[in-house]
Amino acid sequence: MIRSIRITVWMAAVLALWCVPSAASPLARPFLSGLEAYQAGRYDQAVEQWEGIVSDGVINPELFYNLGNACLKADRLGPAILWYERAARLRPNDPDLRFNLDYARSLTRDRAEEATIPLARILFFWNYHLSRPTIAITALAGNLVFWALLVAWRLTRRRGFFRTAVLVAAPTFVLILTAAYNLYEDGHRRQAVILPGAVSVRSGHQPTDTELFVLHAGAKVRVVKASKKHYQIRYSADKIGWIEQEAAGLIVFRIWDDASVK
Amino acid sequence: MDRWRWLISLLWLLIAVAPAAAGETAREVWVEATLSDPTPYVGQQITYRFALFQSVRVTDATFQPPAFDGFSAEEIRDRASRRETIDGREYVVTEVYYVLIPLAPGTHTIGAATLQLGIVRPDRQRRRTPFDDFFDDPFILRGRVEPRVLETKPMAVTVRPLPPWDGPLPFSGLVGEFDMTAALENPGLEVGDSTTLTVTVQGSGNIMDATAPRILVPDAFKTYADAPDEQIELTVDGYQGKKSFRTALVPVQAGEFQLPGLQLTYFDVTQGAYRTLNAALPALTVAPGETAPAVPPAAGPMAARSEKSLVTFTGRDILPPKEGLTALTPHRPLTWPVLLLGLLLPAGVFGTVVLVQRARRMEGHPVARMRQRARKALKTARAQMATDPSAYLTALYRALTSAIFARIGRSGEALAWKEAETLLRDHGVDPELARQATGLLTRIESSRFSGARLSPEERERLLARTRQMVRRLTP
Repeated sequence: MIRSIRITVWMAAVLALWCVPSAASPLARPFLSGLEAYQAGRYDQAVEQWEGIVSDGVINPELFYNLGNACLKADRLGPAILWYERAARLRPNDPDLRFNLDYARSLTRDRAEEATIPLARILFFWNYHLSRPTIAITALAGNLVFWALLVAWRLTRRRGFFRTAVLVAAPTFVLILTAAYNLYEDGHRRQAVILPGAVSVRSGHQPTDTELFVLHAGAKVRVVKASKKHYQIRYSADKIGWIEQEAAGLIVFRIWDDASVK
Repeated sequence: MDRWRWLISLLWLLIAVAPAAAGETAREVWVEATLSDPTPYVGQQITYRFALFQSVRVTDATFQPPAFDGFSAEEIRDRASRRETIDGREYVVTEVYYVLIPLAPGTHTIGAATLQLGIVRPDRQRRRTPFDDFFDDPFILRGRVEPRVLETKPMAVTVRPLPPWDGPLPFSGLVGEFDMTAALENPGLEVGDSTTLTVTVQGSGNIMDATAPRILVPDAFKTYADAPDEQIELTVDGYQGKKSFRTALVPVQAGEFQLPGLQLTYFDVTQGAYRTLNAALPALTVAPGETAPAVPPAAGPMAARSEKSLVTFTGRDILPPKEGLTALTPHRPLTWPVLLLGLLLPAGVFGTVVLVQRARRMEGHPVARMRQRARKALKTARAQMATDPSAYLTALYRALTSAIFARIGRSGEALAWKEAETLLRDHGVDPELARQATGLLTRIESSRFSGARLSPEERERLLARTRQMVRRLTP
């Protein structure tokens, strides 16, 4: 018996040692190279190194934060805000991130015309204070606890389990709805950040179409429609037009997206 | 001659005794009020004294002070009694003091103070008992009490205004008699060291209103004022004490510095004029320091007291990048399939538990048991059909009776055809179906017990009819 336990522990340790370096070591080198380049003031090189890691499928708020820093230091305001926004989706309460994002926003030229309604921030405070992964994990955990309590109730017929399940049900339901809304928003109500210093928003796809207004780097827009090479974007209720897709970066980042932001 | 001398002696006796005898009752208790200064200046503290003189025992004394309109009044809580001999008679004198500060110039009247009391007259007719010494307690009154109301005379107070002040220094607002000293903790310093300048104002008057005299230190010093330290007490002469102001001086550059003297102007009530106090300060020698400028302690008497101001950015930059390898830990974003799977999987487990519970419950039910037995019996009949006719017919009988029992919702082993028809009809089964079932049961029983051999076709047909009937009875 003791021998079998010992063998199991050894196998687990070997497996852990095999898994950890295999995940970290190939990416640690470019990450540290990026840090070294950043410290040396070679910000474009740091961006290149870290974007390579993102291209390998790593989605991490700290990595996105670093990319935001490097882009900002490289005088690329649009991509900097984009990476900060992406990081904020994953970890909205990171104080360093909030500080740097606020600083970057202070450098933008366009005044925000469509602010979040304060009442919504009060009513749905949890969605603004908790990160999306946290909300999703909490919702799923609450769901698991709810059904586990119901199973316990069915098996034991103790009313305490049922009452607890009812208590768990309300917040869990709210969080599930929130997680579902966030997923829907990521898929349908996509937001983007203007990347170049200035971009003309036109009435159509063609370069000859009328320029309606101009947006500058870092402006946050909502993507209404997407054609093959263009986005129809909305800056505020009365400012809608078309821009080229290259001029905006979607905040919701997926593994299959192109990590390089021009 | 002797007669004249006797008459003169008698006359002297009458002269000496008669006034004493007449005033004995009038002067055995009285009150008086006095002022330390009936012509004070505005802001000058004066003392109002109320005194009760008593040569007899009094009780139930109630004192009503005057209103003191036009004054700020504060009673000195320490009331004291003493003995005093007046005109050869011993009195107990009880005094009450008020410190008054005139608020405005002009003539003010301090009204009468009233004292209501009772004079204890001994009961001369009562004989003393041996217990009198034991009960000789002032709180235990024996005798009658004669009520009295005593009043002081109103007093007029002429409050003089302060003369106008046009001196070079600002008037400190102090009125009274004061003195000022200044001391420097350490005149030899290094840059960044801290030394304490202590300015003490002491005397009698409105010392509590004293503020720190202006300290004109060179720009080479930073100053941190401490909270003043007060040691003030209220006496029969008014407010007296001292107030100390401490300031931490921190030199920021080396050199020889002569600190200017400190000056304080107050109104001297004894001289009736303004007076300026001077306190000289020693020269300060500041040597270059090797360390960073000292920071005054955050707490304690030397703690820095600086003006609070809004913290503003003095430079703009972003915070540094994250250097931990946790930045390489992938975050798996939530997707719809993951969310739905996470939601439905536990629900599925719950549904499975419910189904298993139901199935188990059904297993114990007679209907389920009989239905199961009917199915098994049909299988047995099928298996024994060619080899063992007896077992074949027994199995058919078992299958049909089990189906009938399942239909009526109970369990059992044997059933006569007549009983079977009655039970089926009683449980609402179609009479035609009941009749067919009992007919088939009769057919099986007759073949089973008659011993007649059935052809294979007949066996097949009987099995088919039984299977069909079982299905009709147990849908």
